Amino acid sequence: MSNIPEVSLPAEKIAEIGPITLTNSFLAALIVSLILIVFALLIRKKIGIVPSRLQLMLEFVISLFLDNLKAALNNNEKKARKLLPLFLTIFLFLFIANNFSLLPLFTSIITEEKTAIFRTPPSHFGLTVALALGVVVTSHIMALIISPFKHIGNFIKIMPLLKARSIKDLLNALLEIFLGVLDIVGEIAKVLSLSARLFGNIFAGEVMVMIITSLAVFTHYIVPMPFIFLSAFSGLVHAFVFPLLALQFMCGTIRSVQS
Amino acid sequence: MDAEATRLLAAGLCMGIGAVGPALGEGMVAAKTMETIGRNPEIGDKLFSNMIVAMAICESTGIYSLVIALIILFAV
Repeated sequence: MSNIPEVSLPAEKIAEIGPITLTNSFLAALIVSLILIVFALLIRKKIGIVPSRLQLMLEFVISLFLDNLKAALNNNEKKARKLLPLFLTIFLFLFIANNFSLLPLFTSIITEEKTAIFRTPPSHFGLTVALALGVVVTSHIMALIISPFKHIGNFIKIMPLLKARSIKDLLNALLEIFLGVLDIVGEIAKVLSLSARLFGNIFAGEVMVMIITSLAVFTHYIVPMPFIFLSAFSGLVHAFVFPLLALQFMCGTIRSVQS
Repeated sequence: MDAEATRLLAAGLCMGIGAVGPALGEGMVAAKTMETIGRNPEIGDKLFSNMIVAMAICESTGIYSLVIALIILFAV
């Protein structure tokens, strides 16, 4: 069992520039961003009324997210178009980042201390927590802008306590306050569940392929292929699932303030 | 039993027991979707994306146990 490589949960350190530590998943995220920028510039040149194959694919993705946003926001087209870029950016980033290990050569580059320079970005818990925290915090800021008192009132439910006239009302009001505290816990659980889902799937895929590959000499070549396919497929599915769930959470928060 | 053996046993049990629930749940989601598509094939495309999202939510408890097993194995 000694030839199975070391699996590390935190991202490995590559270099240190002043107070900032460069880790391998951060470098890979930069590469993914670079790929997206180049891709955007390339597709901008060829955009037209008669769409190319790439343009058709992107239009399909855009209309999928727009339809979901419109359904979640009670057919408010203007607001849906305003929110679209956030979720589309998350999707495009994850679409490439989840399948980073499929890019040739990148994952084979190692430093002198035998650590890989690039590592699939979502297999580092920090990135997925950052994405989930960004979405949830943004949704709360938007709800606060729309109607600050109502949004705070949704979590700290003091109003029924002030209106209480009898013992029964008082008990109900106390129950409401308890439910409000549970809602606050639920908001933290949203961040945890969104980030853990993405991280778990991608990291499990990586580790699975790595362990199958290094089991024995004859499992180096053809044997890992179905597992690579499985991990690529789950990466693709979770690139869709993360923004769709984030969209539902955000629209739920906005709806609770508007109604 | 020493600490190392307990750790390995805990990680294995955590993943093994934690995988039962999501497997049953995902199976139920898939079975119901197939049943519905069989009755009404036109809405198959619409149901498929909903099914994937529902499955991902069912899967989350399994993923929690996976994360805990990974933490037990590599971080503690």
